[in-house]
Amino acid sequence: MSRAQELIKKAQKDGRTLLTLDESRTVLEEVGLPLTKMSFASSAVEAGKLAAVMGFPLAMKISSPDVVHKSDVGGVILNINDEFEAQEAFEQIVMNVDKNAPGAQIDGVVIDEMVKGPELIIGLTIDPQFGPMVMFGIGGTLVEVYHDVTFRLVPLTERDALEMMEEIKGQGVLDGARKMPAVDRKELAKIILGVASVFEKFPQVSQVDVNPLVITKDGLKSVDARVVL
Amino acid sequence: MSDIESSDIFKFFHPKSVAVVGASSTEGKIGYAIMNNLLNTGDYKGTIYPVNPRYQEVMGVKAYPSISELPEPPEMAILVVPGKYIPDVVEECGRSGCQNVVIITAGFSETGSEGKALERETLANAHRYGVRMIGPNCLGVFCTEEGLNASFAHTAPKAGPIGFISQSGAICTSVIEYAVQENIGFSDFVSIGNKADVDDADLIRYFGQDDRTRCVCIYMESVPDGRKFYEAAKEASETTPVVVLKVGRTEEGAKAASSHTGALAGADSAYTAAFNQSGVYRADSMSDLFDASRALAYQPLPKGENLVIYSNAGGPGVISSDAASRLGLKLAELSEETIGKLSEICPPTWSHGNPVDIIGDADVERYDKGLHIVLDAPEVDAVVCLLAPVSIADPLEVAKGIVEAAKTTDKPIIASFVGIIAEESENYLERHGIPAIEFPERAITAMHALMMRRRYLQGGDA
Repeated sequence: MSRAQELIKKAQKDGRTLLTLDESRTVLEEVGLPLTKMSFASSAVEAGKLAAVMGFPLAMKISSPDVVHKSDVGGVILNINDEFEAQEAFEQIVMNVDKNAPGAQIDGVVIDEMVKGPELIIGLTIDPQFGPMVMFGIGGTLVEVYHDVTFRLVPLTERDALEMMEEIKGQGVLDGARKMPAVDRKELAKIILGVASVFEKFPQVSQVDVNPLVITKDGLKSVDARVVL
Repeated sequence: MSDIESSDIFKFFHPKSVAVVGASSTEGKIGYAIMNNLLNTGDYKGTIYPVNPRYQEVMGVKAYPSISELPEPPEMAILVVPGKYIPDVVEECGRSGCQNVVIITAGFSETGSEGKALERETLANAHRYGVRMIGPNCLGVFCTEEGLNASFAHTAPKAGPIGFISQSGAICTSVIEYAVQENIGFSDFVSIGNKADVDDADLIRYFGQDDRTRCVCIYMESVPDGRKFYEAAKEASETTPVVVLKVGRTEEGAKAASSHTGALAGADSAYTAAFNQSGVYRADSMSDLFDASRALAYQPLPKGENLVIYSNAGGPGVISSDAASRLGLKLAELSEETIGKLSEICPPTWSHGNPVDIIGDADVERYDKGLHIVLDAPEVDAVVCLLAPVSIADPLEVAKGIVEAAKTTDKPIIASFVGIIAEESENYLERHGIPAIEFPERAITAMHALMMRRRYLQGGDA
């Protein structure tokens, strides 16, 4: 059994339908989704060392089962540019959370690679009439406002995936609008097919959001992902 | 026996005998209308058995008290008796060996829980005896080849290459009215009502095998089984184009979605996906449905993407080029040679480009010559012929010229004699297989259907 299958089994045993970010990342990594670098530090020194290995800029977030809205309690710091800043950020976050959420359990911090660029979305859902479907379109937090997405039934072919790219109004972002990096459409098609294969590899999954999938100069990178059983 | 004859759908259209259960001699009753249509509106050669215990004969044809008392099991039975009798009659059909039943009677799943229960009972009886069932709650079926009008419509469609399926009986009668005027013909014509048993997928598969059907045209409100529809459409699309007007696009109300994707997947997203993936041309309106179906049924596919808009006037040309751009169609770039040839027959003020506007003083001769020039040009794959009515060019003569020109080419032609409906010129074009549509943007939609079909069959390398 793969690591992702074990995690899914465990979540089912715990009675959870929503996988954590970490678990979701593991599932999607197994189907070939490119992910941003991410690591976990439980001390300031460790945070500094890990940061130096990951490269910059980075973001840091509190890891606590008691904190839901991380930025509201000062639990998020962005644009960390060197090892020293990383150590400082760790201490600052712990102090902020102690002060704004007294008594909250603090496990440490999550360090994220910061990526910037146009945002896409890939998703999976199950239609009551037609069964498993994959969605592709313009992502980000305003995805439901722009509603620039298109669907295919799963399984789908590479040609279907390429056609999806032509169906969205914002397809210009794929070609590198305004000096942004362009997307390798074949590569993106591979990622869409990979995400769609989640249904086949992990039949317990009912919904997936990969949002945003960011277009960077080093290729596509998934920043956040959610898997629902 | 060919493949199609062994299909369990075949006898709905080609039965050697038809029983009408609930046949009536009383004008105004549905059982009368169906008998009248079978006897008088086509030239159906099979045996007709009226079934009704209250009659010795109906409209001069010997009547029987029940299905089981017929001299032979009928190949198809049309049921118009009240709903409460339907499950038993279906069972009787099954027992006596009749395998194809059309249930006209309404008052089933479309009405509520009692009707739903009645429909389930009917279906269970059909399944028990392997009976295939169209309806309930439908208008009936037509097969133009057999001259079969087993419906209660007041008029019958003409013969032609389109297989038509409608969930709504009312749409059927409207379509027949329209199609008769527009010279659009049908192979088979089915009102499928509640689709309790036979559904779009069964009929699409059947039409895909039927040599007489060159395009399947569907009015759809919902399908009972999405995947079954998708698989059937995909299979049929390999040989036969499918056009669908799917209505009811309204999104479902708020639902408890735990993901963006779930929230964004409206009721229509899956239909759109299934259509796109199976090569179905989705019509947005009744006019689209028939413009697209006519083009696909009557015209050849283009060999490339380069369209010429050929016109004797500016306005219709611009309307067309706007429509083409909106739909993502490519206008052909004319070669020096083609421009030179057109310049020889046109005044210097002609458009020198595409749309090809040969100017309003063009007579029939110039229209003809110009059309041959663009049809013969190797850089042209398809032509939309526009004609603004002017006194100098008699529309019927222009129409005859187009029909003659069409014989010299395998490139598709769609005509729009702008504003002209059901006149001699338009009828002439239509009877010769050239769709003639009264407004130019609709002619472009018809051409779009051909281009999309070509792209689908090409494997999407457009």
